[in-house]
Amino acid sequence: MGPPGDDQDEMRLHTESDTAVLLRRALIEDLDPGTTRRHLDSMVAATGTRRGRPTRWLAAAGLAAALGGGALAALPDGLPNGPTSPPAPAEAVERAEAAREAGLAQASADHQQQVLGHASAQGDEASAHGKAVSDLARTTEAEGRDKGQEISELASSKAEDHRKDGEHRPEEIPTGKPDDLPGTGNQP
Amino acid sequence: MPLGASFPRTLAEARRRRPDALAALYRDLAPAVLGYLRGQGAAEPEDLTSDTFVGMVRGLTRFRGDEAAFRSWMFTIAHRRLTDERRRRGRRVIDLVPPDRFPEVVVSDPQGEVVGAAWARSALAGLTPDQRTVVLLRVIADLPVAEVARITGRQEGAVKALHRRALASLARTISPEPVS
Repeated sequence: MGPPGDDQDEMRLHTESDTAVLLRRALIEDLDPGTTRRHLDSMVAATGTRRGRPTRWLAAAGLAAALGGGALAALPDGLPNGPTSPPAPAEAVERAEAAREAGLAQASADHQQQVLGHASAQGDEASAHGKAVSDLARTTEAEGRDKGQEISELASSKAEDHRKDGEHRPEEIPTGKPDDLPGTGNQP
Repeated sequence: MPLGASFPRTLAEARRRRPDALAALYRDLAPAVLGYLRGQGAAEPEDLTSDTFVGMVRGLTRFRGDEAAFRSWMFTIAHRRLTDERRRRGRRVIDLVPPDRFPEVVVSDPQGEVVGAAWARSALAGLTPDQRTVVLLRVIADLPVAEVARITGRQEGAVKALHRRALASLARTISPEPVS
């Protein structure tokens, strides 16, 4: 048996440890699905910022894909501002499937429409177009390069329409304050 | 739950703006980030959580490090967002523990007795702002002393002392409440 001070120290450590556990249980909880969707919406919208010119409808389509829809397939250039080359249409379809499997939220088709509705009528158009592309990707009998070509043509037809009529240019979204920069080794 | 071995790949895919990877990072850290901001008494903890992850998205290409560094980086962003919010609102830190900002959860203490979220609320309100920040970064963010010292701009010894005093103070406030 050690000196009385040892027992006291041990008891104190136990108490502090238990207190930390209680605090953790009281404060850490999963976010509700609605809040999660809003936050992911904001995150994906942030990926659409290209030198202060966000592409809102693309961001909404990306979120719909993450939530379980196929609208991402509508993106002719994949998610905006990415460092890599644009994905092939087949890859975009795979990405949408992977996002669905990720189980972020089992959003219904109604919810997909609701999310896209937030991004204005342009988002609705993108949704319908994305569904058409997604449906084609699933149902076409073409294979390999032919399949990719077929999907690519349908997917890019929307972008060409946009370029022609000039009515669907991305809207400006306030970019807010400068980004926070990383900490150690990631200092501003 | 840390991402572990899958973290490097998830990070790389998140840098490519892949929604599933961004969501994986979010799922991993959002509960703790929100808990930290709630514990700090942020006026709009959910909004600040969102701001924190938007900051993450915008800064991903500049981030360098492993998962532990990433976690620390995220709480650095959260802490700065909180500081910005307080500056905008012009409120003192000690005033920022509104009673309705805590989840209505019930937790059990080690003796099987039950204490509510009311305990966390009142107990944290009784700490000094420095103690609250340190104990939340250590306990909720689960950051090592060195990282807490860096974020708060204090010496590691000071962080340890603040942490110990904060936990001791919290422990004294545990008062079981019967569940009705």
